[in-house]
Amino acid sequence: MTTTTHPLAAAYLTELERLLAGIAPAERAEVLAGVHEHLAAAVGPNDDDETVRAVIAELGSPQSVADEAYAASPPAPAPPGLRPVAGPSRPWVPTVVGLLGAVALLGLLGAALTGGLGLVIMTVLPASVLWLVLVGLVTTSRHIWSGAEKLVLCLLLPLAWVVTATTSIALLNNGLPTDLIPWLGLAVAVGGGAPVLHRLVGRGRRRAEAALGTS
Amino acid sequence: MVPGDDTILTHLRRGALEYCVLAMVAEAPAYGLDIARRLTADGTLMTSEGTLYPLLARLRRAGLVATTWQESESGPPRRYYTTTDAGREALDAFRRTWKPFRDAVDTALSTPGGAR
Repeated sequence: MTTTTHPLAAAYLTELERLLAGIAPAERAEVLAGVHEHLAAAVGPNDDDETVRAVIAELGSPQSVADEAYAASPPAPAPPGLRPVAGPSRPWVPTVVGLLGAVALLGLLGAALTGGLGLVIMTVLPASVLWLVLVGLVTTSRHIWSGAEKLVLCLLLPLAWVVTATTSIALLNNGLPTDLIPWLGLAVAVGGGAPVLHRLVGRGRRRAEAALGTS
Repeated sequence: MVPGDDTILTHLRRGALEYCVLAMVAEAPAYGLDIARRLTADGTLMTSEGTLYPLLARLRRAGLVATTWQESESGPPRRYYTTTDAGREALDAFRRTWKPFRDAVDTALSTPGGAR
């Protein structure tokens, strides 16, 4: 058995497990084990995302596998109060995260650029709210981003802010004209933050879509 | 509502597919991925490889297949499916009934106005 499961395969199995919640536990475990072994046999540890996606496409959607399982076996009565938790691993999650990140990043740095300290303080609160929502979505998402990727996404705005502030202070100490400073800060933070955000969101979207058997 | 090709195919498969799987592993033990690829080869018996696994689980619960672990050259051991005695009996029963059933359906479909 491969020691680590590819994130796309893990996402597929997670979704399948969620859909099989109404099946008796023993049978559910057996179906999941069968699919897991199928994936382990079909995917090598060095295979790329494309290969894994092709194998998953041949498996068919988790829904079709679940339909087959439900068709022949009467569903076990679900324990009262226990509903499958709809985890935010849908493709809209990475998209929304990307939008929140972009707006918060640009809003905060735009304020630093145009206004003075007053405008900056006024935009810190809304930007922080957007960022809190983003952190919430990222930390509760499953099988879209690795732990390291989630950390990067959550630290993006704080880091951008720190970089802007320290760059500005450093330039000030070197006697550069003060109205140049915000531009430099903006360029450093957005030039670094935006591409990282874009790449991680793109990766997240592709993984979420692949996990649902769509492409 | 008029049933389409897919609906009809699903119903037909439900009656016969398990016996096709039994016939396959009665011939020689096979592991899941192998069975799935062979069944989906022409797209008629099965289209989604994943639907094999609920089917295998049912067969095992009914005592018609058993599993063993075998070493493989290219990596970790694999789970192989084989028929049990009960599985072979079920397969024989299906073979006995399938041919007359198939012939009867063919006759009914080819007779003008259908057989009565």
